Amino acid sequence: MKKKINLTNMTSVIALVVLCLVLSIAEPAFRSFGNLINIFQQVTVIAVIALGINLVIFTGGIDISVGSVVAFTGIVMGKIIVEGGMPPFVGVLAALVIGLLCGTFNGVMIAKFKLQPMIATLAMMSMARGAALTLADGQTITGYSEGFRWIGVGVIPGTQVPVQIVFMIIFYLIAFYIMRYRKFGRYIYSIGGNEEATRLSGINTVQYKIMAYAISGFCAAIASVILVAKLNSAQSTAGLDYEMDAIASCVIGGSSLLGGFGSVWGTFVGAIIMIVIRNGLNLLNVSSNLQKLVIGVVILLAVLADSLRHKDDAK
Amino acid sequence: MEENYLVQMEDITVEFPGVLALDKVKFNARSGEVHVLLGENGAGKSTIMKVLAGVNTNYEGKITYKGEEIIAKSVDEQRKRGVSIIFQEMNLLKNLTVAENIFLGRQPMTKLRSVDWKKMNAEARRLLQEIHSDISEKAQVSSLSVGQMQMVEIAKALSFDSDIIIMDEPTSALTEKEVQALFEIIAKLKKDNVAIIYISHRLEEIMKIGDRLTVFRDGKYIDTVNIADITMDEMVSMMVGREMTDYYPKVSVKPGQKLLEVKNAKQKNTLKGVSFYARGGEITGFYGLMGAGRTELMRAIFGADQLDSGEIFIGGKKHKISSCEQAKSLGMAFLTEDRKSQGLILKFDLNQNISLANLDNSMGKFGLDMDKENRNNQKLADSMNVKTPSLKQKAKNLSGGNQQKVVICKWLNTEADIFIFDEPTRGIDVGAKTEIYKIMNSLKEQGKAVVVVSSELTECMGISDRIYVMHEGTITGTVEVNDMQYITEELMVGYATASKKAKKVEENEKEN
Ligand SMILES: Nc1ncnc2c1ncn2[C@@H]1O[C@H](COP(=O)(O)OP(=O)(O)OP(=O)(O)O)[C@@H](O)[C@H]1O
Ligand SMILES: [Mg+2]
Repeated sequence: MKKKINLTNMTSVIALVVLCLVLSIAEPAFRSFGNLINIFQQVTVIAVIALGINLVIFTGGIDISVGSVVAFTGIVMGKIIVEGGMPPFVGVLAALVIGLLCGTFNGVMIAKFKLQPMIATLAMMSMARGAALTLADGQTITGYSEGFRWIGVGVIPGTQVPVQIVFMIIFYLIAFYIMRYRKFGRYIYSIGGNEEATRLSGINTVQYKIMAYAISGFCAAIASVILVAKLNSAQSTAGLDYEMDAIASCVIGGSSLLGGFGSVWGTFVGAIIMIVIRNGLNLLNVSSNLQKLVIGVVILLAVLADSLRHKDDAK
Repeated sequence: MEENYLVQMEDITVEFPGVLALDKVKFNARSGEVHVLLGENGAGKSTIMKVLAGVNTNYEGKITYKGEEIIAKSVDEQRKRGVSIIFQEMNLLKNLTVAENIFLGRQPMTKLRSVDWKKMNAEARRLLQEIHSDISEKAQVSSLSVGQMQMVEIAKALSFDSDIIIMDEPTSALTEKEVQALFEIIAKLKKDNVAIIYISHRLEEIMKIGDRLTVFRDGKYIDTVNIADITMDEMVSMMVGREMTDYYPKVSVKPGQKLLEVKNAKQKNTLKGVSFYARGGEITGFYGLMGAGRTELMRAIFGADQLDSGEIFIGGKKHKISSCEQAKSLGMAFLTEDRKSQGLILKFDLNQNISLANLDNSMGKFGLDMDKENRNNQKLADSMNVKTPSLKQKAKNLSGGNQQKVVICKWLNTEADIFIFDEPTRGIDVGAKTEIYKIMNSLKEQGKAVVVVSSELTECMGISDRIYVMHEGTITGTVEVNDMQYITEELMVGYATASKKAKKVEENEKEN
């Protein structure tokens, strides 16, 4: 198993290198330092969302509600901080709690009431977006304090390293440790490998599945905080299609949609690939409509590769 | 030498990464004979049959079939040539019905080009009746027990007009009655001049129905003999390469406390008020026919399913068990009968499988310690003689019997006091079976309670200290310690078919 993951990690890293080489030849602007920092800054939001979705995918499930959860938690936070005039940490806390609750709700529906993950999170996708639209009432909530915005635009003093990247790397380190060295991680993979065998080994699969979805919602909320701080605005239309990019990151990074396989670092590389493709298409002046099409093809190829890779596991 | 064999395989070699599964072996079969293939777990029996059936196309060697040399390229092609196979590991699609599985890919059609359900179900019904099975052709396969799935596999193999039928451990989950039905079928097939290749670890069966015997050991050809010419002991020593005497080693331990007691367990149609107990230092056997409710009972005790009513006492204390997690924390271990879908994570490696029920054993200072895990597991795997190049091997790449050993390792890795084993030796070779009995004995000596569900009568009688016989959700017979010597196979089968009313053979000894 280890070998295979390393191999797929390598393929995605190679793909990334090739992609960067091609882009830097086709468009010199790609190589500029400013653009590289730019890419990394764009990666954080998707990478953090993907981190959460990854857990769900490891269990063999899927979560398509994250984009809406980003919008919903963002609006709640904006309301509290800007309109409520409360200290930023109250807004952040509220956003995180709501993200966690949305995820837990998904988890309960799926693990306890046995709904299809796709259907349950589709419902959440609609509910959270609806809540965001209703709350925002067409407005963009803008005007945050310098302190709050530091999360999104600040740099580590004396360097040019953006704070958000540091956050992201810390999250990834924690996730890596948990997935590889804690029982929790092993159980999550095992559920994706064979849920019934895992349950019959005396493991509370319901609880672990709920936790996976809860963490997915939580990560979406964290991403939302970074996003609002970065853009200085919360919008009810924020996070559209983010679930697509995040799921694609996981799959490109080698996570199997059948569950049981994948790695945290693979997903990181996958997220970078997604952003580099978008960035490259932008630099090459590809229209956003056409971009959607290209990204769709990329996702399709990644899923196809996944299903070929794990063909003999699909029983 | 130039006999006209129906099929002749020569110099067959199959290699997997790190494993030479077959090393220039030969095998042949005549029409109208039962040719038994015998060998220890991992000897290469399934592998060579998968070559013949066109499943494993990556082989070297020569196959002569009906006088001409062929290359086995695909299952379809081989089937058209007249080769069909009953797989050792059940290959049915679980979300389809029995009839759909039997006629998968060749459903009878109506004139309007839609599936002719009526005809298909009727045909399936007829095939099932032929093997005396009362499984409903409309039942979804996921609702069947392993034994029932095996019957469906048999029905399916019979539905092809074959010249060779390969049966890879067809009876491993069947009880006497179903085995009898299968033997009748085999006799009929023989008359119709069909060649039957029969793989089994049940020696009595082999003696009974086999004509010739070929033995493999560690991927090598050993010999082919007429079964009439040899004894069972000779058969075993050909297979394991040494003499074996004591198949059912016994140790005597003074029974301790009742560690597990169940009173009046009821569950819809499956359990109609079952009471029993299991003591420490004792092996409690459960015998019965397919569908008697033994598996359902054990699943409910372990919290995998719920009881409708009844009481469960663990170590004398009453508990309501609502999950497997809880059962495990109360000191129970449960080996499920279906290793493929309930016991193993096939796509994970052996380490991950063996550690799953007790990761605490693999914890180091900073979390999971993979080296420690590997060391622990290696010890367990060695004690069970699991045949694999390394513990990094995926579970699905192991032979059936070795997979079973891995699941047993998983539970030995826990510190349970009550071990429930549902068909623990399914698919395990004679030598390894004895190893497993020894492990059960050592659990017994440690004062643990061992509950064994077994459909193999000789095994159940050979290893158990006390036996319960179940029939249609009730206990129809109880054999106490002191009565074990008086019990006969006929009596046991009588209990299991409820032809004798539940009664003790002799009431002279009442246990507390
Ligand atoms: N796909 C595979 N990849 C790697 N090794 C394999 C694979 N299939 C079988 N093997 C190995 O080949 C050897 C022979 O396996 P095989 O299944 O033929 O044994 P068997 O004689 O049928 O044993 P059993 O009695 O346990 O069913 C075993 O060591 C097994 O681990
Ligand atoms: Mg086999």
